[in-house]
Amino acid sequence: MRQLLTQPLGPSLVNPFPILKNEWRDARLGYGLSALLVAVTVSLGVAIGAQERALRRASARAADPFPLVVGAAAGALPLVLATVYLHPEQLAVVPGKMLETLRQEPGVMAASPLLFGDYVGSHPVVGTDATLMIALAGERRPDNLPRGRIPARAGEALVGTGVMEPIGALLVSMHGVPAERSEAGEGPAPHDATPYRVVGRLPRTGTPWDQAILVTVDTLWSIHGMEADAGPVQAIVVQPRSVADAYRLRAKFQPQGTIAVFPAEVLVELYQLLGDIGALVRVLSACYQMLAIAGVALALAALLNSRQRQFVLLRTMGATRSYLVLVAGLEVGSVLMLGMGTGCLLGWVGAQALAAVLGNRLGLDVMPSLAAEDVLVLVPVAIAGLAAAGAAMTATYRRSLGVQLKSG
Amino acid sequence: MHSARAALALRNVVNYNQSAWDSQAILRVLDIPALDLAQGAHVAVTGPSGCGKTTFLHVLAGLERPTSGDVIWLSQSLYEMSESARDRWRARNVGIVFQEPGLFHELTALENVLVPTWLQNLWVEARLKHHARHLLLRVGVRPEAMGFALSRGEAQRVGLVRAVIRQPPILLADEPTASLDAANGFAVRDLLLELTREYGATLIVTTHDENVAAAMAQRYEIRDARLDAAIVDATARSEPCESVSHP
Repeated sequence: MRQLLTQPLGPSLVNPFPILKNEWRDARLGYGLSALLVAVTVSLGVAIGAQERALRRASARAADPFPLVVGAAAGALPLVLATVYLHPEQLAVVPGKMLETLRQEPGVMAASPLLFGDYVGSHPVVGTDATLMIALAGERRPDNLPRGRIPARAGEALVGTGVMEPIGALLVSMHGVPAERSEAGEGPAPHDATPYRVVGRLPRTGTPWDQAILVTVDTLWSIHGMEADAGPVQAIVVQPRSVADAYRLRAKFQPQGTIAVFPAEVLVELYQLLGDIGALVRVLSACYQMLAIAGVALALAALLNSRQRQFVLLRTMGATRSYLVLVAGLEVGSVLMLGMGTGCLLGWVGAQALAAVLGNRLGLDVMPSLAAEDVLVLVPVAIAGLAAAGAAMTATYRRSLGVQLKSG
Repeated sequence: MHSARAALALRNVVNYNQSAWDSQAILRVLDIPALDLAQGAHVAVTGPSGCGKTTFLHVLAGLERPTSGDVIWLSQSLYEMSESARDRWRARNVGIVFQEPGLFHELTALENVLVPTWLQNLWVEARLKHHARHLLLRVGVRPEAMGFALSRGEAQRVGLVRAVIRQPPILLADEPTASLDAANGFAVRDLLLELTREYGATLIVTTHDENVAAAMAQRYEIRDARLDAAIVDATARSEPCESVSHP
């Protein structure tokens, strides 16, 4: 008798990794499909959450330069959509005198006119003043533009980054909605006036205003044959001195044949509507996810069950319960890690793609970012997976090893 | 039979199983009042199939609790231990060779042999690895060959090396040559004897193979649930083995 290992062994480290390697290779299809199921479940949860928040943030940012907008008494929504999103809307005009009235009003820091309706190609031409141009540029001083300058006289234009023409180029505008946007199909009529000369470019705003061509409102008045300083405008952007002034001004200009709106507030209402739809989408996607998570648990339980032979084999060699739990935990854990990692990546890529498509349609820079709440979906997935592993292990130990050996 | 040097002993082991054909019927599979085996014994257990030979081995290995009675290993009562203590006991003291080799297909022959050591160690000592490689070459298997690529005979020899790698004092083999051709059967039989002799293990083999049974120093036969010393020239095995009782 040379050597007998009968002495009790103290607690020591074990090595489950060769078994793990064997399992992944031997049942690669089962493990791969389980990981894919986890990935799909996680990616949808991540993509939906990240995308929705990004869209909300991007459109709120677009409303920033427009604290209070006054327009002719019609719907508040068309006024906001025309102002913030440069959406072609049929807006009634308010007399130019209103601009002067507002500028005299105490509590008004600045009031800028807005006049829409002309296009160069698909780029909307907006008549306004230097104050709003500076505000859109995110600057406080007129001489601080990164490229070019603010238009100083009629016939000069400031363009957004989406307008390709270089500084110094001449632009000829058309009256009316451009052909591709017009539902009636009538072509726009060219103006006979002198073209605009591009004198400056706005920094990128990530809003539809990047597509705009900004001119002084007098330019539009003279093109359309109206007197200077007294022509009509479609909207007036008011910069109130304080929040209190903002509310007082809104109350004051509400009943006078005009409406005064906070675009941010209108958008919040709009989001609430979207939010209700979003809630429905979330409930549906939560239901889907619960099914998917149940699917993950079932798939993993079935997978481990199909691998019982390996567990029985290990037990005949004297594998302890903790060793088998370790192996099963690593098997399930590796599926979950792989699936979750891939899922987060897929979800992220999906959110980016969705943002690119949606942002392009809305003219917004939609930049999705991952928040903790987006990856919350990982928790139930992980719990389901580990529960499946636990159930499989319990099943292993409930049956007699002898019976399993004879039946296997 | 009762020996002072007994390493492994059975006391009053009785095992009943539900009949697979008639759920009302209870089969008495084992009824062994006493059996004492000395360390280093070479024992063959024969008997008609389905008569409890496999159950007998499982009871000895601590894999299946008998209905009553106990197995005593160096004065330790196996079935008084907890199941996990029994798992640990088996890891230290028992090597098992099955009729089906039960290799991990995606591990090499060497890795398969080392699996029992990974149950208790993170790293395998170079000395042990060297020993495993040496044993594999000795039984004629390339250590780097993948499990799925081995022939049946090779796989059985790898299973045998795996069973002895930690030099367990007890080696149990359940029909180790039943699925092998004659040449491989002889090879496995000789290796069982050789390897256990080298370090003094007790070898208990259940078999139908007369070539294996005849090579063992002691022979027992399970008949009507009883384990008796076999009469070597009795070869007729035609009578049915079910012994039904209704307790």
